[in-house]
Amino acid sequence: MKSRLKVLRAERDWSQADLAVRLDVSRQAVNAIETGKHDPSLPLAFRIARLFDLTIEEIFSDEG
Amino acid sequence: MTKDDILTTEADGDGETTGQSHPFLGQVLFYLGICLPTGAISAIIADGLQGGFGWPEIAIGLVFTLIGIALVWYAIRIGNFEPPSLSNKAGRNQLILLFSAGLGALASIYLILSGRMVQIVEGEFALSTIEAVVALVLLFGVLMPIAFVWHRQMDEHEAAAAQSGAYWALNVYLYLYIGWAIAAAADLTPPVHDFTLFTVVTFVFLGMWAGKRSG
Repeated sequence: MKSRLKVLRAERDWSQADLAVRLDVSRQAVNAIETGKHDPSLPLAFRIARLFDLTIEEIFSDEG
Repeated sequence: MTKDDILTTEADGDGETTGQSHPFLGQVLFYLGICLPTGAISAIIADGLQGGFGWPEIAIGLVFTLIGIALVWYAIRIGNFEPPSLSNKAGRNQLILLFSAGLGALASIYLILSGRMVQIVEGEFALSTIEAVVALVLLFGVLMPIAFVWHRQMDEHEAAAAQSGAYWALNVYLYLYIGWAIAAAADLTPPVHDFTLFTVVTFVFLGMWAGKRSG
């Protein structure tokens, strides 16, 4: 699954650690989601969407 | 640009390596760095108890201890690990792993010094009643609760890594054990060796778990 997480994070000048703290997950988890190695669960996807004030579809897509 | 503590090792799916950190290698070297001093210190003490302290043995032990310390230092540098902390899940997770590694090192030192490690490796394992009671209390009173606490402190990525490790470890156990038992029944191989089986299954779990959790 592709995501815009890295771009959204960069726009806010957040490190992976910053985002990880906000989501209460590890930096490795953030990295794995950004690189497409881990698909977030629905609850985590909702937390991410709420944090960026976007919909899940605006952050994640199942293309590629 | 994002801040400089990024862990990314691949850019947006094109496979280009851009990162400076090596979480998987860092984990492997960290645990190896704990094992080396553990074995070296145990060997020095065991040698000392058996026939007095000899300088060549002490020197070799110290070299391995220093190599281990250097490996831990290097692993922390390249691993970009989550800092241990009580204030968040990932930090508590690291504290649990560090505590477990320390406990494992102490248990290993005891097993080596008491001569039990040789018995385990040779497939003969005899304990006194007191040793068995202490071991069972540690197993069910300390390690099992740690496993439950660890499970509660996992984020979903860590849980996925543990799940992947458990899946492959179970498969390796089933097929290796059954295959080995069949082969041994026809005298094609020696009888099933519990310690070898345990070691292989454990390392399969650790490899899959560490690989997946490194992101």
